[in-house]
Amino acid sequence: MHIPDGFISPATYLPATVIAIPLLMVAFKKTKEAINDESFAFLSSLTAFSFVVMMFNIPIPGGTSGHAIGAAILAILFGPWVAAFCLSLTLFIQAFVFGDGGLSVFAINSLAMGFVASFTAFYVHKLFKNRVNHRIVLFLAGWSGIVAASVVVAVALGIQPLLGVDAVGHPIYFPFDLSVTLPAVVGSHILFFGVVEGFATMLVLKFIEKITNQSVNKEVVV
Amino acid sequence: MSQNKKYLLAFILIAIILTPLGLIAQGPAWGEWSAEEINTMIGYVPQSIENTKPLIEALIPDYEISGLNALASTWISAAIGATLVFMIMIGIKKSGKRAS
Repeated sequence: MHIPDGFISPATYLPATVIAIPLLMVAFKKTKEAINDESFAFLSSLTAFSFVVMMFNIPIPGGTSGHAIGAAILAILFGPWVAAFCLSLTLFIQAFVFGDGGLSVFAINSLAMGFVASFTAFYVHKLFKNRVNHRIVLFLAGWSGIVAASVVVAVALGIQPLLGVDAVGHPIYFPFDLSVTLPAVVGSHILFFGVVEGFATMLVLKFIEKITNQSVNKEVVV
Repeated sequence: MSQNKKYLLAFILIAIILTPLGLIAQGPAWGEWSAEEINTMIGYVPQSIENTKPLIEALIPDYEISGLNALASTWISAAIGATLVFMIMIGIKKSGKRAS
């Protein structure tokens, strides 16, 4: 889901950047407030985990691959703003050091995998946490977060053919429209990567509960 | 070091050690194609994809360190990424303390 440079028109990434900057400032402020001697080890190791887990590329039918992102784990433990900042930090390191995702479209990747995934996972967990089986809720939070992020990426890519064609009628930016991007990007996350994110969320949070002897269903765990 | 910190450190180290499993996947993520791959698929390369250069050249493009094999590149990349996360988090923690 890391969109590279050149795939997206400025008409898309400039407004996205204008939206993302104030959100990132709030997220940074909230992260600064949340980070203390107790939370530091959890925040930094789970953010490092989000970086590392994105390297676990899983092949799927059709010759493509994808991965979990670890957003729901941070969102459930620290709230959606802190999680969005942590994910954005991971995405920035990936773009800046490893060329994974374009710097010009950083805002779109940050809004999708940072903000949308974290807020969706957080509210799905909040809504269902005392109504549905604990493990299932953790799974659902992870699954829904990454699926929501995939919708943002599919739309950002799929509207590009409308935003510029050259003299011979070829798209200037990403060449496939929504009828292709939605099933390919969202479909693969519903069926495969969402399931991986769901299990990763469930397993890691059960591990955290085990070492802290606290339920992640409470407001603050660490 | 507290017990929790030991568990978390072990957790992230195991995750880093396992990263080469990600090399099993041959294909890229859907949409994250190179200009050549797009050319093969549709017979041309869209202008912006052809002409746009990254704002900054990445230090380690695609987690591949030149001169090293894929296994070592992946391990070192994962360790660099995780270390950068820890360093930046330490910086944020310190800046928060100064402000308060």
